[in-house]
Formats: sequence, structure tokens, C-alpha cells
Amino acid sequence: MRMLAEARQEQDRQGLPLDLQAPARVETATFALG
Amino acid sequence: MGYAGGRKVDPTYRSMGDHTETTQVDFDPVLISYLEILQHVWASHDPRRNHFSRQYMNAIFFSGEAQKAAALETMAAVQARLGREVKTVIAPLERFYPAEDYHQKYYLRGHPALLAEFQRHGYDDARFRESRVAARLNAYVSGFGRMTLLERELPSFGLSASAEQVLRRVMEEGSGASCG
Repeated sequence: MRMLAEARQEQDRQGLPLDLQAPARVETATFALG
Repeated sequence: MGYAGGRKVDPTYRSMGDHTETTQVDFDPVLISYLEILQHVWASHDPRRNHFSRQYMNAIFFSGEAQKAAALETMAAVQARLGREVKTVIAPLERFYPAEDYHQKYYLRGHPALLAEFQRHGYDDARFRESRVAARLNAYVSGFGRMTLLERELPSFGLSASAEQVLRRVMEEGSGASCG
């Protein structure tokens, strides 16, 4: 149980799932709406 | 959020120099095109408005020839539709300086139970600023996005059950500010 809990904590430290899935391509848009 | 368009090195909110308060969005072109983003940008401000300060002007900062062509093309279309000169500035992006941490994901910062999720996962300020989950939560709590979409994508966020409930409650109450 303790090992499972530690494994879970380590997994948590890596980040939230969506943030761990890198899209194949990322572009950037930059704008200002004053 | 950040600062762009000026010459001052390392601008800050209190010492912005000739920069403009600017939004920078990372996007997956498979899901949304630059052109579609530009259409949202044009629809989200009055292009006829004169800007009275560099800090708060309307601008599109392009990177590369393709973005430049798209920005100019959409500006011409807006101008033709309005029949008036467009005051929105179209300029090359020289450099984007991220704003101070307290400006990032501003509305999400008002929800401690949701912020705790990021702390639990060991996010530092830079990772929080770049987080896709934080960007989406910030949009939901500030009044963008519908419950049906939220329910569809909520499992992919990996939030705790209690944080999911908080988010649903915020959505149901519509308590988030609606601000572009």
C-alpha cells in the first residue's frame, strides 16, 4: 500500500495529465486588446 | 499575459516603457488555425478606436511571413467591411516578455481550491503560467465555455473529485467575471 501511495505521489509530481500530453505541433499567436 | 511591441528591456507592470499589455496564446493548428484566432481577435475589439496610450492599444504582433500575410489580409477585409480606416496596429513581434506571476491566469487565482490542484502536483510559477489545464480553467471560471464542453473534457484534466465539484459549482453559479 505504501509503495502504491508513493508511486501515486510521484505520478502527481509529474503534472496534470493534459499538461503531460504535448501536441504534435504548437504555434503561437500574439495580440493586444486594449 | 505579458509585454511586447516596445524597446525597453525587461519591462515590468510598473515600468513598462513603450510596451503594450499583450496576450500570447500557444495553440495546436490541428485544432484551430491562426486565421480563426485572428477572427476572434477582430471580433473582440473596436478596430476604429484610436489608442491613447501604448500600454492599452489594440495590436496584432505577427511572427513570420505567413502570420504577417494573414494579419494584413484580415485587416483589409475588416477595413472593407467597416468602410473606415482600421486603427489596430499590425507589427512584427520582436520579443514577448511574460508579465509578473500575479498577472497570469488572473481569474483562476481567485479560486484557492483549484489552485491547490497545481500545488499538489508541484507546479512552480513558470509551469503554472504555461499549463494548458490552467489556461482552460481560467477560461471556465471567467465565464467562457459551456457545461457540456466542460463535462466532456473534465476527465482529461486529472483534477481531484472535490476540485471538479468546485469547478462545476462555479460554472453553475456563473460567478466568474466575463472579461476578455
